[in-house]
Amino acid sequence: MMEGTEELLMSLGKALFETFEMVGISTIAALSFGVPLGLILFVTSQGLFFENKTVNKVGGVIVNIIRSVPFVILLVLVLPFTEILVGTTIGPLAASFPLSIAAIAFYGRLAEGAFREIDKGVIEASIASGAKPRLIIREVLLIEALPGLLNALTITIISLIGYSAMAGIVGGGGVGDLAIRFGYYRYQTGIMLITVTVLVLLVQGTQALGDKFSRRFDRR
Amino acid sequence: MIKLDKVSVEFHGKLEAFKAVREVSLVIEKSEIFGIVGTSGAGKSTLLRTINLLQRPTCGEIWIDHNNITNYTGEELRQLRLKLGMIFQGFNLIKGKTVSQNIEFALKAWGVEKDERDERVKELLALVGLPDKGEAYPLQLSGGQKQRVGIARAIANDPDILLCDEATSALDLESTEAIVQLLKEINKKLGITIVFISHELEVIKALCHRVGVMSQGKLVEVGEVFDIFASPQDDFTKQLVSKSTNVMIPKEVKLMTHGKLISLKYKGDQTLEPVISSAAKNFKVDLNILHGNIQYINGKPLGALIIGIQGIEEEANKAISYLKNQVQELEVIYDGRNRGAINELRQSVV
Repeated sequence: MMEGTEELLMSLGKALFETFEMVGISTIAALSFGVPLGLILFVTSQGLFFENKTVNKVGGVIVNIIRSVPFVILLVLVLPFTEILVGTTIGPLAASFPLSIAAIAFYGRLAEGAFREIDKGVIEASIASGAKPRLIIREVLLIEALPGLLNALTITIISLIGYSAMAGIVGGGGVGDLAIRFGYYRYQTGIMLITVTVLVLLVQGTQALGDKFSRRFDRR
Repeated sequence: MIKLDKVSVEFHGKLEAFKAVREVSLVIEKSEIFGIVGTSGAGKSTLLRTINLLQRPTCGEIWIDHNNITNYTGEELRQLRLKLGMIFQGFNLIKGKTVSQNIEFALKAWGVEKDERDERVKELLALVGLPDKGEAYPLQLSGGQKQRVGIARAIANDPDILLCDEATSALDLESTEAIVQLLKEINKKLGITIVFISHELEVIKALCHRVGVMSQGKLVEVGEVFDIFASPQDDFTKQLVSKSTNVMIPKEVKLMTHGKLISLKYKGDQTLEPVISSAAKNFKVDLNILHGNIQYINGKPLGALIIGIQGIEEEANKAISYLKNQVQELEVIYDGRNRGAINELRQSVV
């Protein structure tokens, strides 16, 4: 066990804050860029109003490449870009960059799936009504996909909490990192149990909150 | 006016092309309710969807009010669609929006200002008979109510044409009747041309002025609804309408009959009652109406009767000959005295 409870609480508090920082930044990135990415993949697919095989294929391949690279490797792979963008390669802010890339690809693919779930007839009816694509995207696609998008967001955030544990490699910190450093490397089973419990609670809470929001907007 | 000129639609499968619509030519007049009927897979929906180019024809031309729209794209096509309402079998309402917001969507597509939109939505809700459902979500509505919202959305921008794709096929009888009434009302009030696709003959009969019959991608017959039902020309049409115009009697009735049974059909201009009574008077036979069905299509009666004839053979045959000249169609369906000779008898009557 760690010497003082106070010290443990402080470490844990700091780690929690770091986790929130990393997950928060990458979630915002996932929302800002993943939704448009999923939308592009969807509306350029066959039979839709911006059907474009090239864009769809290229987009799909890029997403797949990012998603197939194990996160630890992605983390190291983008270090040079992290340096340019953030100015440093260590700390939670630096870890947020590779996390954001993974989050965008992950959420983009899930968002595409959420758009695909929309009843084709509803989209057809809106096309038949003479609405511009912009109006259809804003008032039909985004609204009909909302419950699915929220579910996908929950899954993404939970995955990000998991990924962020690996951010320790670049000194990102966070709850997962705490578990690995003290619990795994230093055999402090007590701390490992505590941090893992915190992680379980975090994931549970996220899932419950996500489900609640998704239900709130689900009118299917 | 809608004019289809030799419109064909082919779908290209992996191995072979499938011709869903084959060289259909058709003129639909302004303000008429035109039905297209046929079995499922006949190409009705595909044909309908070429009118607003949701389905592009493989060849042929589509004209709306003297404009060839076949190759419309982009903004031109969008402007055209604003003037072409459409309703669907599955209603296709936006589930995440209220009834009012669904109708408002069509108005936004047209570019109507907010104040005007609110007012127009109220007007439309009243017109389709849902004045207090504006805040409800589609999930909370019955099928009939959903289709009313669909209609309100489709006519929000005062279209010239309303396309209906199996619009009543997912509804129960009562809702179907109500929707038919509403469409008739809209046609009368607003003068909108309605093109109505359905496999339900009863709906076509109750709603349409003219009808086209489709079979295997081809338009086999076009005419006034009454004529199509009263005197179909094409074999497919005959078979299709027979289900709705024929009357059947239970076989128990046949077995109990000593005389002959005839079935006859008559239509609007053939007044039947004096014919039957004069047949009974002029020949020594007893006539007994066992079963009958008279329906009115666009105000004209179309009837089918099953009549039992009793009397000596010669008189009965004379009565049948006489009746045959007075009605549109007559058939001896049963001969109680000579079961084997039904066919022979049929010939002697001719």
